[in-house]
Amino acid sequence: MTDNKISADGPKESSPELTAMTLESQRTVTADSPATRAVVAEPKITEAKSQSKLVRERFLRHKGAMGGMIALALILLLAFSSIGFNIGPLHIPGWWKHTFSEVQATVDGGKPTLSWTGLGEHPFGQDALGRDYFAMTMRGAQISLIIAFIVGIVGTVIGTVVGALAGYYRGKVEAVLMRFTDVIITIPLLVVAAVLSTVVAKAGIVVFAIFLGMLTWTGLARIVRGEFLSLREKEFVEAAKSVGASSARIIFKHILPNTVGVIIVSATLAISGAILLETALGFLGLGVQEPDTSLGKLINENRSAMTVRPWVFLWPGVFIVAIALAVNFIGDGLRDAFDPRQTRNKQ
Amino acid sequence: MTSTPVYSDTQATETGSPILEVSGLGVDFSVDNEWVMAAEDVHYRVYPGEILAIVGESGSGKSMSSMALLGLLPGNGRSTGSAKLLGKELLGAPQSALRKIRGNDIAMIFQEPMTALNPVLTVGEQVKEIIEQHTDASPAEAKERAIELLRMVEIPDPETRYGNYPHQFSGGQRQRAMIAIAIANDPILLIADEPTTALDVTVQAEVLELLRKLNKRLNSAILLITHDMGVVADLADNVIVMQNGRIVEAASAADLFNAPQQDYTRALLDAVPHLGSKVGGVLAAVEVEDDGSLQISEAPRAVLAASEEAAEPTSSQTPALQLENVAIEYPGRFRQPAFRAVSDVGFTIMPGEVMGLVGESGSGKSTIGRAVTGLLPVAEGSVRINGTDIAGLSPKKMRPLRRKFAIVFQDPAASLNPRMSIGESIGEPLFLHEKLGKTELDKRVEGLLDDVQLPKSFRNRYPHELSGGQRQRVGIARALSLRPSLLVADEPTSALDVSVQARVLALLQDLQREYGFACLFVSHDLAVVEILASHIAVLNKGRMVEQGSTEQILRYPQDPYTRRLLAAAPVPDPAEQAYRREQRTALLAAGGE
Repeated sequence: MTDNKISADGPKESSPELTAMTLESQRTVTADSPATRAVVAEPKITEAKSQSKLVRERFLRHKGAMGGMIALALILLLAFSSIGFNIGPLHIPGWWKHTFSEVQATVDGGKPTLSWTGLGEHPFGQDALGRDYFAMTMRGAQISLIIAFIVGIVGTVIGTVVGALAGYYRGKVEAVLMRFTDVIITIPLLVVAAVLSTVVAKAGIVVFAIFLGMLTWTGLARIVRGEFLSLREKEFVEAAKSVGASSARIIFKHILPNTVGVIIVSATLAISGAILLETALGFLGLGVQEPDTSLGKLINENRSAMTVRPWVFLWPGVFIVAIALAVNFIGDGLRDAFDPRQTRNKQ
Repeated sequence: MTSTPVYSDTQATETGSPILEVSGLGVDFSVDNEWVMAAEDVHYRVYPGEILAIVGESGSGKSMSSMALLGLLPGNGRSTGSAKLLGKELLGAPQSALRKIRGNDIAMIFQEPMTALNPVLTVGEQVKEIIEQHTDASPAEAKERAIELLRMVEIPDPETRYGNYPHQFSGGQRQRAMIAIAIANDPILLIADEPTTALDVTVQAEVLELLRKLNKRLNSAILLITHDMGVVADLADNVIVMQNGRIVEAASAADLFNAPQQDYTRALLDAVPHLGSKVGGVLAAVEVEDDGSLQISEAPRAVLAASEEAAEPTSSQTPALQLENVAIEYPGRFRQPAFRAVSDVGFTIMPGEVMGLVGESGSGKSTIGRAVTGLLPVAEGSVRINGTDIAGLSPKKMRPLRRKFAIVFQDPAASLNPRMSIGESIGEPLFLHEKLGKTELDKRVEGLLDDVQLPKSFRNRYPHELSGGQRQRVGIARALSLRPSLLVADEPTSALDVSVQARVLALLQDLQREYGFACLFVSHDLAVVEILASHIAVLNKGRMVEQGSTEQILRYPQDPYTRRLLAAAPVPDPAEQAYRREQRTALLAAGGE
């Protein structure tokens, strides 16, 4: 029903001729115009679909996003089931025979045993100390994923709320919030991290990730504020006001869905960015502490071994790229799903 | 008015060879790798001094077929057939050749004069530039010529205005400057694409008058592209009617309006609201004597009495809307004082009545519509809705009152949330005020879709999937969802094609009868207001000029501004329009009185 060949996004186009053209071409191409088709379909009672249901349907139709979802799910499954994980004091064991901290004798110079015939003893090889590199990569992927998602979520939520409030209410609220944003921007992230991370990192990676998230929301806040400033003047916002919608409803139901595109793009970038930020902090000896590890830390620790033992470099890199790509594809799909104009089904 | 020797003052004649000969012209667009027809098999000829109008609704291909002549199609378009300018083929000519023709032999006047002028160059420089580009005049000569042109398009004090920037010009003056640029190099053909659509009626009348004068003086042909039958009746010699990319009918203006041959033309003409159709003629009180002087007769007593009763109802009923000495201000920024958009306005609408609020842009009519629905604060005076004064109420106290009134906005595309389905948009007021359950809400939304004659399956569609008329129906359904006692309609049909406008207006009338709400109908179009409203209030520059019954305002206007406004509105009838032009000239000559 919704697959009109030509999107009638006329209002976006600047010239009235073009708009006219789009509408006109729509009329000629789809000989059965929406009206007549709808009349034909009338006997079936059309069930009202909620916005979330429509979004979900469109998301599930998006091939790229589904691919990203599957890839990410597989990575998560592999990372958490293989070596197990801790919930508080409780350790849930995995199916892999080695742990990431156990030091063993080096077999065959630590070369990977992964081949077409099977996994072997150390599929990803061993590091200089003889630890199983597969287990280490899995542990690194766990930590990096947790950090990336917490930073992404915390940063996006704070940035969106600050930007939305500043853009919608304007006046004093805007002045205070935006000056506060400016202050956060002026603080060099690495210096704060250096001062606080030894304290924070001891409290665990979750606290560390939340702390990073609280420093990386500023860009998004500015973008969202800009979007709100232009959207709050739109007539549909006035229409909502005229029927007595509350400010919260206007912000969250009317304006926010229209800014979802930029928020999601920015969130996916934040997630990839968080992995890199954690890497940079790890390089300075801040952030994730020994004996725990993360993907960035693995790369940094072994960067001198690049020419001799490339696998210690390769495997964490593959996972970083795979995670970042998967997240970006999902973000793409979400943005399209939230935008009702994206119904061409060309993917 | 002096003229340079290049212009001839001789009257145009329709003999000789045509300036432009278009035959078998077709325009296609590539959409998703398919060729979609925008216009096909278009034939016409334009002779020197002729004004040929191409009319049609949006999507009829009228603009695109003309853009194709100049090689100005968008990147995904192509044109076929033949178009000869003085025997030279235009289609398929190289861009360098076309560039010489554009602005020299053929000139264009665009719809939006603000965007067509460069804001960082003075108007004079922009006129001068086009002269320098196409002739080898020295800068001093070009400047002199530019001033001459500005004088020709009747811009007062052209020497001073030469150095002014576009933002210092009014809308009408900007369009005059655009015309000056267009005629700078004595084009033999002037293509005017909706030249007056963005202008107020009184300004539109002036620009049309100017085009008529220039056409006679320069003997150049004008190709007028428009959707407005009134403009066609006012200006055109011959008319081509287009629909869906094809020519439906071609005839002289007189024949077309008096005896349309095709069904589509007839339907189109019927859909155009004709000023004076309900009250039987407009400006009946204004007679033009043979010598051009004015004779204004008194309105009959009965009409005046009825009108006075309308303005000040004496019945004991509570009015649906009552404004008293209302002033509305836009707050100033920094040290600028607040801008008073409306001052000292008062009127009353009784339950079930429709009041038309008429004025030109900047008159404050939309501002009043917004203040009445609580979207703008009222600076002074009182706004009573069903007896409750809403001026100065806090948003919280206002909220329960909001179900008593609703607003339909001008632009249906902008007033619907693009991320919400139609069903959600319509159901929102119900959801907010009646806290209905899902099934009950669904049922009400279905009922409302039925009421505005949209299929129920539309509820899951998004605004961009609907046409303009359908979107406006959704806007109306949303406004009526709570059965308000007062509906404010802010130019609800001005963004729509005439045939769609006619249907939406009919729908509004039906619903008004069925639901019985009072309606404040804000519009710049007197003909539309006449159809719906029983009373009219006329605004000018934020002040109420006149109010009374529709008959009194249209037939026996008391105020000179109302008279000028009425005389400026074109009607789709060349003979009547010619008489109205005389009335207008006489009224202007009589001055403000």
